[in-house]
Amino acid sequence: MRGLLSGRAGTARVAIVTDPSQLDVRVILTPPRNPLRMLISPLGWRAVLYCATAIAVGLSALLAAIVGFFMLPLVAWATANVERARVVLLGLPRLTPLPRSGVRHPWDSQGFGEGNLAVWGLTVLFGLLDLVPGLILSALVLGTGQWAWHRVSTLSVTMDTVWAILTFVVVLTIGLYIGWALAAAQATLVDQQLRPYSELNRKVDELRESRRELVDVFAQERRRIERDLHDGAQQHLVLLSLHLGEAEYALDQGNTAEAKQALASAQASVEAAMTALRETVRGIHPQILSDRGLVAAVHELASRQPVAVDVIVGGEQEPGEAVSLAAYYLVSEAFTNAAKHSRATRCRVELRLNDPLELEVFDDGIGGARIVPGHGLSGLMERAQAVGGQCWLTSPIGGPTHLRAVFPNPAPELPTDLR
Amino acid sequence: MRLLVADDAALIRAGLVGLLERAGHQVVAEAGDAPELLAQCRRLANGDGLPDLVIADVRMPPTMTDDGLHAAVQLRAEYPSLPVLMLSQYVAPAYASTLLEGGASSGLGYLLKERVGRVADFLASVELVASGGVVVDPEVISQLLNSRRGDPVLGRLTPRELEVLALMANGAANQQIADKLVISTAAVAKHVANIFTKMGLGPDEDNRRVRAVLAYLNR
Repeated sequence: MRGLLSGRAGTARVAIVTDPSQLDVRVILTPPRNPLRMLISPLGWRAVLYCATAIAVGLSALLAAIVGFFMLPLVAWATANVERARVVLLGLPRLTPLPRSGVRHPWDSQGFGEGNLAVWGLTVLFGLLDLVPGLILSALVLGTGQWAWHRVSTLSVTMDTVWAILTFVVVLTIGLYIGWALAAAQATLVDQQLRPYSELNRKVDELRESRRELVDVFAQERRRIERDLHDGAQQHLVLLSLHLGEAEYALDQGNTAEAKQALASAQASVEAAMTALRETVRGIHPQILSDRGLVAAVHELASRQPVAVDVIVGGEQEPGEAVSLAAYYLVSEAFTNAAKHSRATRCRVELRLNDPLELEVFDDGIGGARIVPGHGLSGLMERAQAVGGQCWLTSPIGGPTHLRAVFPNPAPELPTDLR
Repeated sequence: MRLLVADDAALIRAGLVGLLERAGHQVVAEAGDAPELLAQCRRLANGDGLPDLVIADVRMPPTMTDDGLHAAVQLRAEYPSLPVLMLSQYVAPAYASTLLEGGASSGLGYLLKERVGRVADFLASVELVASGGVVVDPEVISQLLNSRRGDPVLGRLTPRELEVLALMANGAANQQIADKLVISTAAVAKHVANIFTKMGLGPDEDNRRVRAVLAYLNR
């Protein structure tokens, strides 16, 4: 590793890596630009060593597979392990296998899934691929080297000596570059197949995905709010403006009766705008949820539904704000679905305020509710997951629909200085 | 005048129709979405004759984006002599530009919806557009001017000349500009001449000058 770091290759990129286990195969992808540097850089020589062993390993892997064809999974598994270790020759950290793949039986189909068979194929391919240029280049380097050495050792300083040395250096440099190219190609492909993918990586990937979906949820909410404002309050305000204008116009023409009528319409428009605004605001954040908690908010929500709703509450532990909001919106969406799509006549909400908090919504509608990515319920499920909850939806065609969610609901810790 | 009114909000459509009818106009057709607007207009064109003016909302079904605007652009392509007045909740020069790019020489308007409340002004705009004039909402003009703040030519205009320019782009005639700014029409004429000299435009009268100004701002 030291050697690689001291080389010119990708110095800037290497410099910021402090943990050697984070060294990536990419650091070997930039060879020195200056051919003379290639001669003294460890990268080229490491690459030659890597290719030379690749020939040996590749041919062995091929032979082993021919001899023990029925043991191919085992051969592949062994080859992959050798390849995991062999990248050390390039100054890269050993590719650690997944913890579970070590315990698994090599015949297990998972053995193939982890890329073992692909690596076996790569190893054989590169073993054969490296063989021809390896032999030719070795012969050339040795030949020109011997020629140059002969010239130098006879101490005859002529143009021929200079030519001999130059030819040797050029051939050697070309050999190093070809070796580097073959090694970099093989290491990159092997790395792709065997890159250590720890639980941590998996978590990071999951988090990245869920964060992306949350951003989508936010964008959706903004669109919804914009649409609510546009279709609601804004329309009524335009009408208000229109009625006021008409009142003024009527007054200008001395028509008080018409002006009065326009003013009455204006009054109605203001009231309608207020109602619409209240609806929108409630959609953004239900005030009653912050003031009175989840149970009161669900009761209030139920009382506003066009279908009859039974609310059954058990337990006494009101959840925190994030869980409350996620649960509230799930209930709200379930009601919306019941009223709009499932033609339900009756809903039942069961809320068990323990740890975990359990939430269930049933309706007697026609079912067929689906979780469509990017639509209502899927966004709310993301939201529930974001606060540690989980949701299940069963809605067979013909009904009934049942939404169930579970949220962590630990008792709030009392402040320690509470006397 | 015979008018076609298109707006998906039934309440607003009814309000508009009431207002226009009380002002003595005749609303010969109504539409609640973009396809209906196209269909009604074509029906009129093949029957009683094109309306004198189409008043349409930018945002309408089916996609609830700028369907109304696209329908208007299409109508102007089919009937180049058809004046169109768009109403919108958005101050978006891009929408106004789309209309202007059509290049047709008939009347054209882009107003914010709440302008209907200034009934006298709104009715004047309706008349102006129907008679081939151009009216662009002052908010849109000021946003256009704002987006061109770095423009060296506009930078050479005096604050008073910028005011006159905005009013001009809004479709105001010299007399109206004089009234609004409380100056003499002679002074307005001088400002207008200065503006056109500085912008390198020909001193056209009336609508052509509005188009010239808008074209310049849209450049």
